[in-house]
Amino acid sequence: MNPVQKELLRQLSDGELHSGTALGEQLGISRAAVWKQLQLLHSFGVEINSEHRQGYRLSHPVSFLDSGKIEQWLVPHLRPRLPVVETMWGCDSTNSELMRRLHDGAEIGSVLLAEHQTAGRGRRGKGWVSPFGSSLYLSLLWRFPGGPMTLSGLSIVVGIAVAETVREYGLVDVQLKWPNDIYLQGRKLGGVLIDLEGEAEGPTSVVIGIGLNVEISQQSGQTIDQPWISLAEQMSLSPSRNQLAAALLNRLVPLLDRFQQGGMVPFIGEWDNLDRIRNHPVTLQLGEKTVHGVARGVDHMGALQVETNGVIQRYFSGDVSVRPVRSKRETA
Amino acid sequence: MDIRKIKKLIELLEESGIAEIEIQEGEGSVRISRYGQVAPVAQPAAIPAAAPAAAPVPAAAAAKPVAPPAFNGHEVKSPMVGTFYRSASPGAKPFVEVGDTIAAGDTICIIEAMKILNQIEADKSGTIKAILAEDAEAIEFEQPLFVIE
Repeated sequence: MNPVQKELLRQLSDGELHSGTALGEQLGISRAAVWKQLQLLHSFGVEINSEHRQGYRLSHPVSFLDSGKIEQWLVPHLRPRLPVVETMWGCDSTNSELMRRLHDGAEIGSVLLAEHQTAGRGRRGKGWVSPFGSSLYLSLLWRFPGGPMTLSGLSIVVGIAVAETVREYGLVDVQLKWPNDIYLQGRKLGGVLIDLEGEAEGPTSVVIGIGLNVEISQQSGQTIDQPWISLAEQMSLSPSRNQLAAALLNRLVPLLDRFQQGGMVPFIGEWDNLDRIRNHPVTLQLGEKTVHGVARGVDHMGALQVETNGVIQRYFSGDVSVRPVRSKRETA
Repeated sequence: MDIRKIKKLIELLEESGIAEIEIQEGEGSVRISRYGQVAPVAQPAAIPAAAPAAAPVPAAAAAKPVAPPAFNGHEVKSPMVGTFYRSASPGAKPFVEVGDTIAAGDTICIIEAMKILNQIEADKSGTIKAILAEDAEAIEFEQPLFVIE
Protein backbone atom coordinates (compact mmCIF):
# COMPACT_ATOMS: atom_id res chain seq x y z
CA MET A 1 0.00 0.00 0.00
CA ASN A 2 1.51 3.34 -1.03
CA PRO A 3 1.50 6.57 1.06
CA VAL A 4 -1.31 8.11 -1.03
CA GLN A 5 -3.54 5.11 -0.39
CA LYS A 6 -2.79 5.18 3.33
CA GLU A 7 -3.65 8.88 3.49
CA LEU A 8 -6.88 8.30 1.56
CA LEU A 9 -7.84 5.63 4.06
CA ARG A 10 -7.11 7.95 6.96
CA GLN A 11 -9.37 10.57 5.41
CA LEU A 12 -12.15 8.04 4.82
CA SER A 13 -11.82 6.20 8.13
CA ASP A 14 -14.60 8.26 9.77
CA GLY A 15 -17.16 6.54 7.54
CA GLU A 16 -18.47 9.91 6.30
CA LEU A 17 -18.99 11.00 2.71
CA HIS A 18 -15.94 12.65 1.10
CA SER A 19 -16.03 14.19 -2.37
CA GLY A 20 -13.39 13.26 -4.89
CA THR A 21 -12.48 16.94 -5.28
CA ALA A 22 -11.98 17.43 -1.54
CA LEU A 23 -9.91 14.26 -1.25
CA GLY A 24 -7.81 15.34 -4.23
CA GLU A 25 -7.19 18.75 -2.72
CA GLN A 26 -6.20 17.30 0.63
CA LEU A 27 -3.71 15.00 -1.02
CA GLY A 28 -2.59 17.32 -3.79
CA ILE A 29 -3.65 14.95 -6.58
CA SER A 30 -6.31 15.04 -9.31
CA ARG A 31 -9.80 13.64 -8.94
CA ALA A 32 -8.94 11.04 -11.54
CA ALA A 33 -5.93 9.99 -9.49
CA VAL A 34 -8.14 9.73 -6.41
CA TRP A 35 -10.51 7.49 -8.33
CA LYS A 36 -7.65 5.30 -9.56
CA GLN A 37 -6.19 4.86 -6.06
CA LEU A 38 -9.61 4.06 -4.64
CA GLN A 39 -10.06 1.38 -7.28
CA LEU A 40 -6.78 -0.14 -6.18
CA LEU A 41 -7.87 -0.03 -2.55
CA HIS A 42 -11.10 -1.70 -3.54
CA SER A 43 -9.09 -4.53 -5.06
CA PHE A 44 -7.40 -5.01 -1.65
CA GLY A 45 -10.80 -5.67 -0.11
CA VAL A 46 -11.45 -2.15 1.17
CA GLU A 47 -15.16 -1.54 0.84
CA ILE A 48 -15.56 1.91 -0.63
CA ASN A 49 -18.96 2.92 -1.86
CA SER A 50 -19.28 5.75 -4.36
CA GLU A 51 -22.49 7.66 -4.03
CA HIS A 52 -24.14 9.34 -7.01
CA ARG A 53 -20.99 11.17 -8.00
CA GLN A 54 -21.10 13.04 -4.71
CA GLY A 55 -18.19 11.22 -3.29
CA TYR A 56 -16.97 8.17 -1.50
CA ARG A 57 -17.45 6.59 1.88
CA LEU A 58 -16.29 3.44 3.64
CA SER A 59 -18.93 0.81 4.35
CA HIS A 60 -18.33 1.43 8.05
CA PRO A 61 -16.02 3.66 10.10
CA VAL A 62 -12.65 2.02 10.69
CA SER A 63 -10.51 2.47 13.72
CA PHE A 64 -7.10 1.37 12.51
CA LEU A 65 -4.94 -1.17 14.23
CA ASP A 66 -2.40 0.53 16.44
CA SER A 67 0.41 -1.37 18.14
CA GLY A 68 0.80 1.32 20.82
CA LYS A 69 -2.85 0.96 21.82
CA ILE A 70 -2.60 -2.83 21.85
CA GLU A 71 0.43 -2.65 24.11
CA GLN A 72 -1.42 -0.30 26.46
CA TRP A 73 -4.13 -2.90 26.95
CA LEU A 74 -1.72 -5.75 27.65
CA VAL A 75 -1.41 -6.96 31.22
CA PRO A 76 1.85 -5.28 32.39
CA HIS A 77 3.68 -8.48 33.33
CA LEU A 78 3.05 -9.95 29.86
CA ARG A 79 4.57 -7.01 28.01
CA PRO A 80 8.17 -8.19 28.30
CA ARG A 81 7.09 -11.55 26.91
CA LEU A 82 5.57 -9.91 23.84
CA PRO A 83 8.51 -7.71 22.86
CA VAL A 84 7.29 -6.84 19.37
CA VAL A 85 3.72 -5.91 18.46
CA GLU A 86 3.53 -4.80 14.85
CA THR A 87 0.57 -3.85 12.71
CA MET A 88 0.66 -3.83 8.92
CA TRP A 89 -1.72 -2.43 6.35
CA GLY A 90 -1.67 -5.64 4.46
CA CYS A 91 0.30 -8.78 3.72
CA ASP A 92 -0.26 -12.17 2.12
CA SER A 93 -0.96 -13.87 5.44
CA THR A 94 0.22 -12.85 8.90
CA ASN A 95 1.22 -16.47 9.55
CA SER A 96 3.27 -16.70 6.36
CA GLU A 97 4.89 -13.34 7.05
CA LEU A 98 5.78 -14.29 10.62
CA MET A 99 7.21 -17.65 9.48
CA ARG A 100 9.49 -15.74 7.08
CA ARG A 101 10.49 -13.43 9.91
CA LEU A 102 11.25 -16.45 12.10
CA HIS A 103 13.83 -17.44 9.49
CA ASP A 104 15.21 -13.91 9.64
CA GLY A 105 15.64 -14.15 13.39
CA ALA A 106 12.40 -12.62 14.71
CA GLU A 107 12.11 -12.52 18.48
CA ILE A 108 9.98 -15.10 20.26
CA GLY A 109 6.81 -13.37 21.42
CA SER A 110 6.53 -11.28 18.25
CA VAL A 111 2.95 -10.39 17.40
CA LEU A 112 1.85 -9.39 13.91
CA LEU A 113 -1.53 -8.04 12.83
CA ALA A 114 -2.75 -6.84 9.45
CA GLU A 115 -5.67 -4.73 8.25
CA HIS A 116 -6.17 -7.17 5.41
CA GLN A 117 -4.63 -10.29 3.91
CA THR A 118 -4.28 -11.04 0.23
CA ALA A 119 -3.79 -14.77 0.78
CA GLY A 120 -5.31 -15.55 4.17
CA ARG A 121 -5.03 -19.27 4.79
CA GLY A 122 -7.35 -21.92 6.14
CA ARG A 123 -6.69 -25.63 6.24
CA ARG A 124 -5.37 -27.45 3.16
CA GLY A 125 -5.35 -24.67 0.60
CA LYS A 126 -8.66 -23.20 1.71
CA GLY A 127 -8.60 -19.43 1.82
CA TRP A 128 -9.51 -17.21 4.74
CA VAL A 129 -11.63 -14.30 3.57
CA SER A 130 -9.78 -11.25 4.87
CA PRO A 131 -11.46 -7.94 4.01
CA PHE A 132 -9.79 -4.72 5.06
CA GLY A 133 -10.33 -3.31 8.55
CA SER A 134 -13.11 -5.77 9.37
CA SER A 135 -11.49 -8.52 11.36
CA LEU A 136 -8.62 -9.56 13.48
CA TYR A 137 -5.81 -11.35 11.64
CA LEU A 138 -3.32 -11.95 14.40
CA SER A 139 -0.25 -14.15 14.55
CA LEU A 140 2.00 -14.88 17.49
CA LEU A 141 5.46 -16.42 17.33
CA TRP A 142 6.11 -18.74 20.27
CA ARG A 143 8.55 -21.47 21.20
CA PHE A 144 8.12 -24.70 23.15
CA PRO A 145 11.00 -26.81 24.48
CA GLY A 146 9.49 -30.13 23.31
CA GLY A 147 9.15 -31.59 19.82
CA PRO A 148 6.04 -31.39 17.62
CA MET A 149 4.69 -34.58 19.19
CA THR A 150 4.28 -32.78 22.52
CA LEU A 151 2.17 -30.04 20.92
CA SER A 152 -0.78 -31.94 19.55
CA GLY A 153 -3.18 -30.42 22.09
CA LEU A 154 -2.05 -26.89 21.29
CA SER A 155 -4.82 -26.46 18.71
CA ILE A 156 -7.42 -27.14 21.36
CA VAL A 157 -5.82 -24.80 23.89
CA VAL A 158 -5.63 -21.86 21.47
CA GLY A 159 -9.29 -22.38 20.55
CA ILE A 160 -10.19 -22.29 24.24
CA ALA A 161 -8.29 -19.01 24.69
CA VAL A 162 -10.21 -17.42 21.80
CA ALA A 163 -13.55 -18.71 23.07
CA GLU A 164 -12.87 -17.42 26.59
CA THR A 165 -11.99 -14.01 25.17
CA VAL A 166 -15.24 -13.89 23.23
CA ARG A 167 -17.08 -14.87 26.39
CA GLU A 168 -15.38 -12.00 28.20
CA TYR A 169 -17.30 -9.71 25.84
CA GLY A 170 -20.56 -11.11 27.16
CA LEU A 171 -21.14 -13.56 24.30
CA VAL A 172 -21.62 -16.63 26.45
CA ASP A 173 -22.96 -19.02 23.82
CA VAL A 174 -19.62 -19.28 22.03
CA GLN A 175 -18.66 -22.85 21.10
CA LEU A 176 -15.77 -24.71 19.51
CA LYS A 177 -15.90 -27.27 16.75
CA TRP A 178 -13.01 -29.69 16.80
CA PRO A 179 -10.23 -28.89 16.57
CA ASN A 180 -10.66 -25.14 16.96
CA ASP A 181 -13.30 -23.45 14.81
CA ILE A 182 -15.04 -20.76 16.81
CA TYR A 183 -18.84 -20.65 16.55
CA LEU A 184 -21.43 -18.23 17.81
CA GLN A 185 -25.11 -19.04 17.47
CA GLY A 186 -24.24 -21.92 15.21
CA ARG A 187 -22.34 -19.74 12.75
CA LYS A 188 -18.60 -19.45 12.24
CA LEU A 189 -16.97 -16.55 14.04
CA GLY A 190 -13.31 -17.42 13.72
CA GLY A 191 -10.60 -19.98 13.24
CA VAL A 192 -7.10 -20.91 14.24
CA LEU A 193 -4.24 -22.17 12.11
CA ILE A 194 -0.85 -23.08 13.51
CA ASP A 195 2.39 -23.39 11.55
CA LEU A 196 5.30 -25.06 13.19
CA GLU A 197 8.86 -25.91 12.60
CA GLY A 198 11.33 -27.90 14.60
CA GLU A 199 13.19 -31.13 15.12
CA ALA A 200 11.45 -34.18 16.54
CA GLU A 201 13.25 -33.72 19.87
CA GLY A 202 12.54 -29.99 20.08
CA PRO A 203 12.56 -27.10 20.58
CA THR A 204 9.65 -26.20 18.33
CA SER A 205 8.85 -22.74 17.00
CA VAL A 206 5.20 -22.14 16.32
CA VAL A 207 3.27 -19.39 14.64
CA ILE A 208 -0.24 -19.30 16.04
CA GLY A 209 -2.67 -17.60 13.67
CA ILE A 210 -6.07 -16.39 14.80
CA GLY A 211 -8.75 -15.03 12.50
CA LEU A 212 -11.79 -13.50 14.17
CA ASN A 213 -14.69 -11.76 12.39
CA VAL A 214 -15.19 -8.39 14.03
CA GLU A 215 -17.27 -6.33 11.64
CA ILE A 216 -17.74 -7.96 8.27
CA SER A 217 -20.26 -6.45 5.88
CA GLN A 218 -22.78 -8.60 4.02
CA GLN A 219 -20.96 -7.64 0.83
CA SER A 220 -17.57 -8.92 2.01
CA GLY A 221 -19.16 -11.93 3.66
CA GLN A 222 -20.63 -13.15 0.38
CA THR A 223 -17.41 -14.95 -0.44
CA ILE A 224 -17.38 -16.94 2.82
CA ASP A 225 -18.43 -20.48 1.93
CA GLN A 226 -20.41 -21.24 5.09
CA PRO A 227 -22.79 -19.53 7.53
CA TRP A 228 -20.79 -16.84 9.34
CA ILE A 229 -21.25 -14.24 12.02
CA SER A 230 -19.21 -11.30 13.28
CA LEU A 231 -18.89 -9.83 16.77
CA ALA A 232 -20.45 -6.49 15.79
CA GLU A 233 -23.74 -8.22 14.93
CA GLN A 234 -24.07 -9.32 18.53
CA MET A 235 -22.87 -6.21 20.30
CA SER A 236 -24.40 -2.78 20.66
CA LEU A 237 -21.02 -1.14 20.17
CA SER A 238 -18.44 -2.46 17.72
CA PRO A 239 -15.54 -3.74 19.77
CA SER A 240 -12.19 -2.01 19.36
CA ARG A 241 -9.91 -4.36 17.48
CA ASN A 242 -6.91 -3.06 19.42
CA GLN A 243 -8.55 -3.89 22.72
CA LEU A 244 -9.71 -7.24 21.42
CA ALA A 245 -6.20 -8.13 20.23
CA ALA A 246 -4.81 -7.33 23.68
CA ALA A 247 -7.59 -9.29 25.41
CA LEU A 248 -6.78 -12.31 23.24
CA LEU A 249 -3.08 -12.12 24.03
CA ASN A 250 -3.79 -11.61 27.74
CA ARG A 251 -5.79 -14.87 27.70
CA LEU A 252 -3.58 -16.82 25.39
CA VAL A 253 -0.14 -16.42 26.97
CA PRO A 254 -1.09 -17.80 30.43
CA LEU A 255 -2.84 -20.75 28.74
CA LEU A 256 0.28 -21.46 26.65
CA ASP A 257 2.26 -21.53 29.91
CA ARG A 258 -0.22 -23.92 31.48
CA PHE A 259 -0.12 -26.12 28.40
CA GLN A 260 3.67 -26.20 28.43
CA GLN A 261 3.62 -27.33 32.08
CA GLY A 262 0.75 -29.78 32.13
CA GLY A 263 -0.11 -30.64 28.55
CA MET A 264 -3.63 -30.95 27.27
CA VAL A 265 -5.20 -32.85 30.19
CA PRO A 266 -5.96 -29.83 32.45
CA PHE A 267 -8.01 -28.37 29.59
CA ILE A 268 -10.33 -31.29 28.94
CA GLY A 269 -13.04 -30.04 31.30
CA GLU A 270 -13.02 -26.63 29.66
CA TRP A 271 -13.11 -28.24 26.23
CA ASP A 272 -16.15 -30.32 27.20
CA ASN A 273 -18.00 -27.14 28.16
CA LEU A 274 -17.28 -25.57 24.77
CA ASP A 275 -17.54 -28.68 22.57
CA ARG A 276 -20.11 -28.04 19.88
CA ILE A 277 -20.32 -31.58 18.51
CA ARG A 278 -20.09 -33.74 21.63
CA ASN A 279 -22.59 -36.62 21.48
CA HIS A 280 -23.79 -35.49 18.06
CA PRO A 281 -23.75 -37.76 15.04
CA VAL A 282 -20.86 -36.57 12.89
CA THR A 283 -19.16 -37.22 9.59
CA LEU A 284 -15.40 -36.99 9.44
CA GLN A 285 -13.82 -36.49 6.04
CA LEU A 286 -10.25 -37.78 5.86
CA GLY A 287 -9.03 -37.19 2.34
CA GLU A 288 -11.21 -39.56 0.34
CA LYS A 289 -12.22 -41.60 3.36
CA THR A 290 -15.44 -40.84 5.23
CA VAL A 291 -16.16 -41.89 8.81
CA HIS A 292 -19.61 -41.77 10.39
CA GLY A 293 -20.15 -41.99 14.11
CA VAL A 294 -20.95 -40.11 17.27
CA ALA A 295 -18.50 -37.51 18.58
CA ARG A 296 -17.23 -38.37 22.07
CA GLY A 297 -15.02 -35.46 23.01
CA VAL A 298 -11.23 -35.40 22.84
CA ASP A 299 -8.55 -37.62 24.34
CA HIS A 300 -5.44 -36.61 26.29
CA MET A 301 -3.72 -35.50 23.08
CA GLY A 302 -6.64 -33.50 21.77
CA ALA A 303 -7.54 -36.12 19.17
CA LEU A 304 -11.22 -36.38 18.28
CA GLN A 305 -12.95 -39.49 19.60
CA VAL A 306 -15.61 -40.92 17.34
CA GLU A 307 -17.74 -43.87 18.37
CA THR A 308 -18.92 -46.24 15.70
CA ASN A 309 -20.81 -49.41 16.61
CA GLY A 310 -19.62 -49.21 20.20
CA VAL A 311 -15.96 -48.75 19.20
CA ILE A 312 -14.20 -45.47 19.91
CA GLN A 313 -11.50 -44.42 17.50
CA ARG A 314 -9.24 -41.39 17.66
CA TYR A 315 -8.49 -39.03 14.82
CA PHE A 316 -5.79 -36.43 14.49
CA SER A 317 -7.04 -34.74 11.36
CA GLY A 318 -10.00 -34.42 9.07
CA ASP A 319 -12.97 -32.16 8.48
CA VAL A 320 -15.80 -32.90 10.84
CA SER A 321 -19.41 -31.95 10.26
CA VAL A 322 -22.56 -32.56 12.25
CA ARG A 323 -25.08 -34.82 10.52
CA PRO A 324 -28.80 -34.58 10.92
CA VAL A 325 -30.09 -37.59 12.86
CA ARG A 326 -31.79 -40.05 10.51
CA SER A 327 -31.62 -43.40 12.23
CA LYS A 328 -30.35 -44.70 15.52
CA ARG A 329 -27.92 -47.06 13.86
CA GLU A 330 -24.54 -45.61 13.02
CA THR A 331 -22.70 -47.15 10.15
CA ALA A 332 -18.98 -47.31 9.63
CA MET B 1 -12.48 -60.07 27.00
CA ASP B 2 -11.48 -63.00 24.81
CA ILE B 3 -7.76 -62.94 24.01
CA ARG B 4 -8.53 -63.90 20.41
CA LYS B 5 -10.69 -60.84 20.11
CA ILE B 6 -7.87 -58.65 21.39
CA LYS B 7 -5.48 -60.24 18.90
CA LYS B 8 -7.98 -59.49 16.16
CA LEU B 9 -8.16 -55.88 17.31
CA ILE B 10 -4.40 -55.54 17.19
CA GLU B 11 -4.43 -56.82 13.61
CA LEU B 12 -7.19 -54.40 12.77
CA LEU B 13 -5.19 -51.52 14.21
CA GLU B 14 -2.09 -52.53 12.25
CA GLU B 15 -3.97 -52.63 8.99
CA SER B 16 -5.90 -49.45 9.46
CA GLY B 17 -3.30 -46.84 10.31
CA ILE B 18 -5.45 -45.77 13.27
CA ALA B 19 -3.33 -44.50 16.15
CA GLU B 20 -5.32 -45.89 19.03
CA ILE B 21 -8.46 -47.89 19.67
CA GLU B 22 -10.59 -48.38 22.77
CA ILE B 23 -13.32 -50.97 23.16
CA GLN B 24 -15.86 -51.24 25.91
CA GLU B 25 -17.73 -54.48 26.39
CA GLY B 26 -19.94 -54.89 29.42
CA GLU B 27 -17.77 -53.89 32.35
CA GLY B 28 -14.48 -54.58 30.65
CA SER B 29 -12.56 -52.21 28.46
CA VAL B 30 -9.38 -52.47 26.49
CA ARG B 31 -7.28 -49.82 24.87
CA ILE B 32 -4.61 -50.51 22.30
CA SER B 33 -2.26 -47.76 21.27
CA ARG B 34 0.46 -47.58 18.67
CA TYR B 35 2.14 -44.59 20.23
CA GLY B 36 2.20 -45.66 23.87
CA GLN B 37 5.96 -45.10 23.94
CA VAL B 38 5.94 -41.58 22.66
CA ALA B 39 2.83 -40.02 24.11
CA PRO B 40 3.87 -36.60 25.35
CA VAL B 41 3.47 -34.75 28.62
CA ALA B 42 0.18 -36.31 29.55
CA GLN B 43 0.97 -39.97 30.00
CA PRO B 44 -1.83 -41.08 32.32
CA ALA B 45 -4.96 -41.99 30.41
CA ALA B 46 -7.30 -39.06 30.58
CA ILE B 47 -10.34 -41.01 29.59
CA PRO B 48 -12.19 -42.37 32.59
CA ALA B 49 -12.91 -45.88 31.45
CA ALA B 50 -15.69 -47.75 33.20
CA ALA B 51 -14.12 -50.15 35.74
CA PRO B 52 -11.28 -51.54 33.68
CA ALA B 53 -11.58 -55.29 34.15
CA ALA B 54 -9.07 -56.11 31.45
CA ALA B 55 -5.59 -54.68 31.69
CA PRO B 56 -4.72 -52.36 28.82
CA VAL B 57 -2.65 -54.04 26.20
CA PRO B 58 0.65 -52.22 25.71
CA ALA B 59 1.68 -50.86 22.36
CA ALA B 60 1.32 -54.15 20.64
CA ALA B 61 1.38 -52.77 17.16
CA ALA B 62 4.88 -51.52 17.72
CA ALA B 63 5.99 -55.14 17.75
CA LYS B 64 5.69 -55.26 14.00
CA PRO B 65 8.92 -53.83 12.66
CA VAL B 66 8.83 -51.49 9.71
CA ALA B 67 10.12 -53.33 6.66
CA PRO B 68 13.76 -52.39 6.15
CA PRO B 69 14.02 -49.97 3.28
CA ALA B 70 15.54 -51.21 0.09
CA PHE B 71 17.59 -48.01 -0.09
CA ASN B 72 20.75 -47.26 1.78
CA GLY B 73 20.07 -43.55 2.05
CA HIS B 74 19.13 -41.21 4.82
CA GLU B 75 15.58 -41.61 6.09
CA VAL B 76 13.42 -38.60 6.88
CA LYS B 77 10.95 -39.61 9.60
CA SER B 78 7.75 -37.96 10.71
CA PRO B 79 8.14 -35.88 13.88
CA MET B 80 4.45 -36.24 14.72
CA VAL B 81 1.22 -38.16 14.21
CA GLY B 82 -0.89 -36.63 11.46
CA THR B 83 -1.71 -36.64 7.79
CA PHE B 84 1.00 -36.61 5.14
CA TYR B 85 0.65 -34.12 2.30
CA ARG B 86 2.98 -33.92 -0.65
CA SER B 87 1.80 -30.48 -1.78
CA ALA B 88 0.77 -27.18 -0.20
CA SER B 89 -2.85 -27.56 -1.30
CA PRO B 90 -4.95 -30.13 -3.12
CA GLY B 91 -4.05 -30.21 -6.79
CA ALA B 92 -0.89 -28.16 -6.33
CA LYS B 93 2.46 -29.41 -7.57
CA PRO B 94 4.12 -31.79 -5.08
CA PHE B 95 7.07 -30.30 -3.20
CA VAL B 96 9.33 -33.08 -4.46
CA GLU B 97 9.32 -36.10 -6.76
CA VAL B 98 11.56 -39.14 -6.79
CA GLY B 99 14.79 -38.20 -8.54
CA ASP B 100 14.67 -34.53 -7.52
CA THR B 101 17.85 -32.96 -6.21
CA ILE B 102 17.24 -31.11 -3.00
CA ALA B 103 19.19 -28.95 -0.59
CA ALA B 104 19.00 -29.20 3.18
CA GLY B 105 16.24 -26.85 4.31
CA ASP B 106 13.98 -27.39 1.29
CA THR B 107 10.38 -28.15 2.18
CA ILE B 108 9.59 -31.72 1.16
CA CYS B 109 6.13 -32.31 2.64
CA ILE B 110 3.56 -31.14 5.18
CA ILE B 111 2.29 -33.14 8.13
CA GLU B 112 -1.01 -31.83 9.43
CA ALA B 113 -2.80 -32.67 12.66
CA MET B 114 -5.62 -30.63 14.13
CA LYS B 115 -4.86 -27.62 11.94
CA ILE B 116 -1.25 -27.65 13.02
CA LEU B 117 0.78 -27.57 9.85
CA ASN B 118 4.31 -28.86 10.05
CA GLN B 119 6.38 -28.09 6.98
CA ILE B 120 8.98 -30.80 6.93
CA GLU B 121 12.34 -29.70 5.61
CA ALA B 122 15.06 -31.94 4.28
CA ASP B 123 17.73 -32.30 6.95
CA LYS B 124 20.26 -33.37 4.34
CA SER B 125 21.08 -32.40 0.77
CA GLY B 126 20.90 -35.06 -1.92
CA THR B 127 18.54 -36.85 -4.23
CA ILE B 128 15.08 -38.12 -3.32
CA LYS B 129 15.41 -41.88 -3.75
CA ALA B 130 12.02 -42.91 -2.45
CA ILE B 131 8.78 -41.49 -1.13
CA LEU B 132 7.45 -43.96 1.41
CA ALA B 133 3.96 -42.59 2.10
CA GLU B 134 0.94 -41.76 -0.01
CA ASP B 135 -0.53 -38.28 -0.23
CA ALA B 136 -3.23 -37.74 2.43
CA GLU B 137 -2.17 -40.90 4.29
CA ALA B 138 -2.37 -41.09 8.10
CA ILE B 139 1.16 -41.11 9.49
CA GLU B 140 2.58 -42.35 12.77
CA PHE B 141 5.31 -40.76 14.87
CA GLU B 142 8.74 -41.63 13.45
CA GLN B 143 7.28 -43.31 10.38
CA PRO B 144 9.80 -43.05 7.51
CA LEU B 145 8.60 -40.66 4.81
CA PHE B 146 11.50 -40.19 2.40
CA VAL B 147 14.84 -41.65 1.55
CA ILE B 148 17.50 -39.13 0.58
CA GLU B 149 20.79 -40.26 -0.90
